Order: sequence, then structure tokens, then C-alpha cells
Amino acid sequence: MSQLVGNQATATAPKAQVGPFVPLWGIAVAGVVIVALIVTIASNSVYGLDFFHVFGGALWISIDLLMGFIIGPIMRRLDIPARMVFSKNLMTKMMVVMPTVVICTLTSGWQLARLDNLFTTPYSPQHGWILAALIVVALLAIIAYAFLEPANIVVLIELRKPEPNGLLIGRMMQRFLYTAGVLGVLQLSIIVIMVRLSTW
Amino acid sequence: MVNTPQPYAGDTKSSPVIACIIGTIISCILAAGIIIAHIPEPAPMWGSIMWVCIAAVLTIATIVLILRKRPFARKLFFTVAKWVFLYILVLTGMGEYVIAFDGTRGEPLVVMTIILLLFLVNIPMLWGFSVARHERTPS
Repeated sequence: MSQLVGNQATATAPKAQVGPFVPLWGIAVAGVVIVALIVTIASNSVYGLDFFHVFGGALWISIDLLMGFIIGPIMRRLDIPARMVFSKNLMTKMMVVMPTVVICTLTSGWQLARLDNLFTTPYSPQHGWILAALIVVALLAIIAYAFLEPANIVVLIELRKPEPNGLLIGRMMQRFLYTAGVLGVLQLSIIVIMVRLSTW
Repeated sequence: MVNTPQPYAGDTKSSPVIACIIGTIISCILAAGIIIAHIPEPAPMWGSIMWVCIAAVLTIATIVLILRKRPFARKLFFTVAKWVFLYILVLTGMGEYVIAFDGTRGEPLVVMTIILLLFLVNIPMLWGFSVARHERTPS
């Protein structure tokens, strides 16, 4: 199966490409968002931190669920040429969007927990739930950094070559879609934890 | 009998480099987790320091393994690693800013800084190696 996917991918891949790997305008927008986040943290604005955490968290969870349970299965059923064009366009933008969303969600969430005295109340009932959230985030980080993103980069780099290795692309795309599904399941547990914390 | 060359599917062997880096990431998360789990009480630092030392040893082992790997597409490795380094620099920079802003000082700050530095070194190596290991280079 991987070989079939790979051969078709190679046949339909555009010739070698040069130029920026990710859209430069996206990096500029991400830079502005990060600066706004730094200013919000420095000013201890609860509204601003809430905004970054809710907006970032909603985006992060939605994107992971969408990738794992909707886009992933759809991509498996697409024609190979359509799949390659779609994933190439999607992944280059995701490489800018996801790191920014993750940085915003985690740093603002940490600051909110501090401002809500969740760290200064010794062993409050919420303490265990916050630890559970941190454990799930740690699992998400290990899977994303160790398996998902390397597979993504291998596919994008292969597609930029004059003669992409189709078999390798097929293998890496399978890995990417499976790990996206696992991340989707983990994100469901984050929803349970966050709803519990916000309705305490 | 004619031997037909098998199509190359990339480096499919399990790599000690990947195992070492994943071990480092898990050790770093455990070291940070011990400090975070004890907040607001002061955490017993020996546990975190032990995991940081394990992570440091694994990082050195990873660097040695990558340096000794032949044949290896070093150019591609560094091309990928330098851009990932920039991304992780922003991520760890934000982490350090938040930790220092919260008033963390002394041993916990030193341990957290070392953890972030280990991330800064290991994630670019992991992504760079994951790409470069599949590249066919003349031996």
C-alpha cells in the first residue's frame, strides 16, 4: 500500500523547488502574536491571558480533532494527486500555525493558573486536575515532537526534490495520519479536564 | 538468477539516536514534573537533578552517535536542525521568560533553565536526524 501511494505521489509531485519552506507572511503574523503575548504576560492582564488561552486552546484542540478524525480519514480516500497537493499546501501553513498556537495556549494557561492562585493554595482539589492536564500535555509533546513533526518534515523535504522517494513518502504519510489520530484522542481528555476546572 | 534491487523505503532500522533523544525528552519532562508537582511547596531537588543528569548523559551519547554515524547526510541534518533550532529558541525563550517572570529563583530556576537548554539541543537533533537518516549518501 505504501509503495502504491509512494509511486503515485512521485509521479504527480512537482519538480524540485527552491525558496522558503514556510510562508514568510505567516512568520511575520506569528511574530506579532508572540510579541502581543509577551506584553499581555508582562501586564498581568487577566482578560488578555484568558483570551490567549481560550482562543489558542480552542484552535489547538479543534485542529487536532479535525486532523485526526475528519481530514485524516478523508485524505486516505482521496486520489493520490489530490492528496499530495492538499497535504503539501496544508502542512506548510500548519508548520507556522501550530507552534504559535501551542506557545500561546501553554504560556497563558500557566500564567492564568498562577493568577488564580492554583499554585499557591497548598494541595487544592484542583491541583490534581492541573497535574493531569500537564501529564496529557507532556504526552502530546512527546508524540508530536518525536513522531508527528519529523514525519511531516520528511514528506515536505522529499516533495521538494526533483525525484522524490515515493515509498518513503507513503510510509511517512501513514505515520503522520496515525499519530494525528492518537493526538485527537488525547485532546478529548484535555477537554474533559478543562471543563472540570472551569466549572469548579 | 538475477537480483533485482529492492526499492529504498528509507532507513527502517530502529535507531539508538532516536531512542536516546526520546529518553532525554522523557527525563526532562520528569525533572520538570517533580518541581511542578510540589508547587507551592519547595520540591526536593535531588529527584529533578538526577533526571537532568540522565538527560545530559543521553544528550552526550546522542551527539557521539551522530558524529560516529557513517555514511550520514550531515549537510541536510544541519539545514533542518538550524531552522528547528530557531523555532525551539522562541519556544524555550518564552518558557524561560515565564519562569523568571513568576519569580522562580535559585536551584529550581537553574534546573528549569538546564531542562530548556536540553530541549533546545535535542529537538533540532531529533528532527534533523529524522530527515537526514533516510538520505542515501555515498559510503
